[in-house]
Amino acid sequence: MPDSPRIRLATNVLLALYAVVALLPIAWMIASSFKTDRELLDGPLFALGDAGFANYVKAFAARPFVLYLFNSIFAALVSVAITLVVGVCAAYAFAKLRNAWTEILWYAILASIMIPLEAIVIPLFLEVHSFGWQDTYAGIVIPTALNAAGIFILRQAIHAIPEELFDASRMDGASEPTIIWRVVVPIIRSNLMVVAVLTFSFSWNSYLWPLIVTTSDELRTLPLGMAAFQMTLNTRYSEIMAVSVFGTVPMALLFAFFQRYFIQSSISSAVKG
Amino acid sequence: MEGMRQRWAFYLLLPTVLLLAIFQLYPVLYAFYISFHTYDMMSPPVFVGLGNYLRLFSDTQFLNSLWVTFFYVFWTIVPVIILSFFLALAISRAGSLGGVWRLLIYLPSVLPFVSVALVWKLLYNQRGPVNDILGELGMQAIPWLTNSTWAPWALIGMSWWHATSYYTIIFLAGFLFLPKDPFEAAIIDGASRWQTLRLVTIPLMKPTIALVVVLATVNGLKAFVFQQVLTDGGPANATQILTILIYKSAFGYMEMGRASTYSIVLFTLVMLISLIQIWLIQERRNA
Repeated sequence: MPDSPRIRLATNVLLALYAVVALLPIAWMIASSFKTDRELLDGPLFALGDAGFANYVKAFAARPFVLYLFNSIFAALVSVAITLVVGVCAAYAFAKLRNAWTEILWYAILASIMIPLEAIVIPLFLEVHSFGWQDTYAGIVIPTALNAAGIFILRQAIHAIPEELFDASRMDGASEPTIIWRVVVPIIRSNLMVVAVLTFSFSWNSYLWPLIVTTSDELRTLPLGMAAFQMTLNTRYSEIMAVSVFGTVPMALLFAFFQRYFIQSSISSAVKG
Repeated sequence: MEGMRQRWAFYLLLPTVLLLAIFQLYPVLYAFYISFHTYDMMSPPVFVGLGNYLRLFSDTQFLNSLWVTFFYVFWTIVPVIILSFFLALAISRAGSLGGVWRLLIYLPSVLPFVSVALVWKLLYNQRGPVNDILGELGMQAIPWLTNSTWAPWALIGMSWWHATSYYTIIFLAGFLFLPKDPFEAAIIDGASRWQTLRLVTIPLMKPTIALVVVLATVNGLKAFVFQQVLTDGGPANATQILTILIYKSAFGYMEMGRASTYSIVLFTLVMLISLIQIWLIQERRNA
């Protein structure tokens, strides 16, 4: 139904109002990171303060945030790499090499996508403990690295590739790995990006598992470092905001470059939950 | 040739199967196993049969957490779903600015969860902006995070802000896939705006609505970061959702058996709701 200009204007005004609500806390976070604590608590809400980068400097002096950042990026990249490599192989088998066994296994994958990590952290911790992986990079990264939802998304994409493309390559004597690399990967490149972005943000937000499995400060990922920093005595509010902004920057950059994939990955993750 | 392909299927699936068996299937089975024992990681597990499960019914901490969880999930998802639905509907009809609104409304989802938690913790500070605004309106400051009546609402309120951003995008995807014909028919029949919404839009959007209800419920049940950072389950356990209780019982009090029993309850709730989700997706595919 075509809306009249007046209704369309009203729609846009309402959306603008909500957009302000959505953005206010973010704007306030950024503004606060440049204020002194006094300005933050008693000054006007959105004026930039006099602190300059002092809060950032102090926060970085108090804790090794660059190390936390490195740990987070490392964990996220390993998770993305494992999910893409292992995932595309599995997805190809599920989509194009089907047999009775892969069908059964497919249901197992669906079930495992549903299993909430929050409900299995205790046995997972005991298991990782018995591996001697407690408080190691392997312990932080490997148990949660494979994002099974990625397999789901990639399988859908590979499923849509017409069979003739594979037949031609097989006729030329290409092996299955060659087909995956030469035929599948180029076609589903944008789906791989979606899965990469999705897996990266899962890992970036990962909190409960690293919290349980790490004890030493050098292994903390950024979310843990940020949370621990705010619990430290004498930490200033404005410094906490500086750290919050710092944690957002990598995601914001990623979002700026890969906006399309971000929104697509949010939609795809709806199949996961 | 065919045998070759079968062998490849095996090799290609092997890494996935190993990872999932070691880090998902085994932990699930192990969780059930521990839930029938008491175990503190010092001495070997002691079998107690259904003891942990029978204790649930008189375990006031657990019953409190179950109630806190349901309260949180319910009051989070109902407003969020209604708000996201209408925001998405508005964006789909906003014309040329639609893309801009979609982008801006999505931004809270780009923030890391811990950043969101830290910002809101400060927004709810006794002398923070939320109370400043209440003061401007002539109201008393509210001890958002230190009062057991207000703290659950503080967490619910921030979830509205955070979750709406995500579910609006999901709804929007649903709106964009709606067929055009029923709406044209509604115009020809002279249906009013309200009638069109009630009789055409909502019925057509039912699968997406159902999907969002399921998603939001599962995500609500799995919430952890906000509660941990803002209140750590307090004050007086008022925000101690199941995940926080599990974490504290296992890693604070080393009661692995009891905590595993709580985990099984959470597991069962999430799996039941996820089964409904699968069924809904299947329905949609068949529709």
